[in-house]
Amino acid sequence: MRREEEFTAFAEAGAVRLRQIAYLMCRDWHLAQDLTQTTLTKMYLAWPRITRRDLDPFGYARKVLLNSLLDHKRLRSSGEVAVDRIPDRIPDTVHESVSADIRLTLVDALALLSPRDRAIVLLRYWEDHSIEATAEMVGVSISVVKTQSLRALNTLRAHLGEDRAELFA
Amino acid sequence: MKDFRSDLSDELSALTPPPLGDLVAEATRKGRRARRVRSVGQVAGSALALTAVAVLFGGQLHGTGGKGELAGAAAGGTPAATATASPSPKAATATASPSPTASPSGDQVHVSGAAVLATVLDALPAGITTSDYAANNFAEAHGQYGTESPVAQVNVHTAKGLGMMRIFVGTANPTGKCTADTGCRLDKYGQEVRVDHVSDNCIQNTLVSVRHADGTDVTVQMASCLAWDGKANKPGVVPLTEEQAADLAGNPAFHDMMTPAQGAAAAARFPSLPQIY
Repeated sequence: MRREEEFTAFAEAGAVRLRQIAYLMCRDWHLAQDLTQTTLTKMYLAWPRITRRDLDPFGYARKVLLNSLLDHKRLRSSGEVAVDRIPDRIPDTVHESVSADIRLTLVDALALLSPRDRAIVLLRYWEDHSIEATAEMVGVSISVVKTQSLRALNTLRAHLGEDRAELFA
Repeated sequence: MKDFRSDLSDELSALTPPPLGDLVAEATRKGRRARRVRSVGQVAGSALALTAVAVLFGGQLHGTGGKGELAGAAAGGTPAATATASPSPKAATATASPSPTASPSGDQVHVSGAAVLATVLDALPAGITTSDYAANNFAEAHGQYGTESPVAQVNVHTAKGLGMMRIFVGTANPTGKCTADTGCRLDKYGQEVRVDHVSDNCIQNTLVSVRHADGTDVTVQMASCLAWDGKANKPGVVPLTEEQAADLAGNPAFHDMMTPAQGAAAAARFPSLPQIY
């Protein structure tokens, strides 16, 4: 019973953050909600093992979430092509009702990256993980994280324009 | 990158996400239910295994051909009663590749992860040693919007080292047919085979997908590293050749649906399969 209380406390504390990561990865609140719930269900099942091995529960949850997201993208991506433009309608953004404001947001720009590059950028610069930890979580080599994060930042710079170049200083 | 974080935080704060609702409570409910199902499966599996051992032992004592029945079961794709999900290596004992089987009829459910695993182990060529099984059921791992395919995970012991693969069994996208122009070819059953490589993702190093005539889609995802152990994806080797993976994925014993009896038999064969994370 104590374990369940511990899990509930963890889940309540981490759900919002997990859903934010999921949203930044997929840009769909409903999918983000669903993936967060799935992640927490798996965390519930794995909780005895996580506590027994003294693992970092949020790190574990983040890994589960990213695996689910990247698997989801992989299975959906056969007919999906990355394009270098913003879709006509971007749902759920702050600019939805501000038609005059056409400045690209960071959230918009992140959507232009591939799912893996987005994961790398978010883990490195949003979650503040080391290159090594990011490589482990995404399942790529350290050199891939280095090269892809540089390339992804260049892409973001190009889309956001000079006036926001200081973001990546 | 402080500005990156603060800018992104500001943008997120300005969004209006739907309320979290009872997300945590629902996750807990689903977790409890999954744990109950797992426990029932373990008890039922143990009981079935004991019964099978008793019947087998009795058959041997009375010379009624129990051994022949077990060999037939192992070769034909029906789960062997005495096999369990064990971390210790097991050599494949199938004496022949499973022959094409008719799609299961009657009341059907989505094929379970355990049933996928049973088919994989029966379909692998004799002599291949496997271990460290894990599986997820339909929609169990990835939710309503995710990869709804059941999946089995197997470690393969090769001469070059340990390799890991995951086998997804799902329903092929009816509009997603591939052509020779996109690297597809036909196998000996006339089924479409597609091979993809993701060179910088060790889990998805090589993906071999076969689209079966009945609409079942089988993907063998061969990794160049081992599964996440809670801390890292340790290095591994690609477990099969692309040809072996195509043969495995194209095995007609795979179906995306099964009868409840087939599900019970697979659960009995693998009563304590861990989930894939």
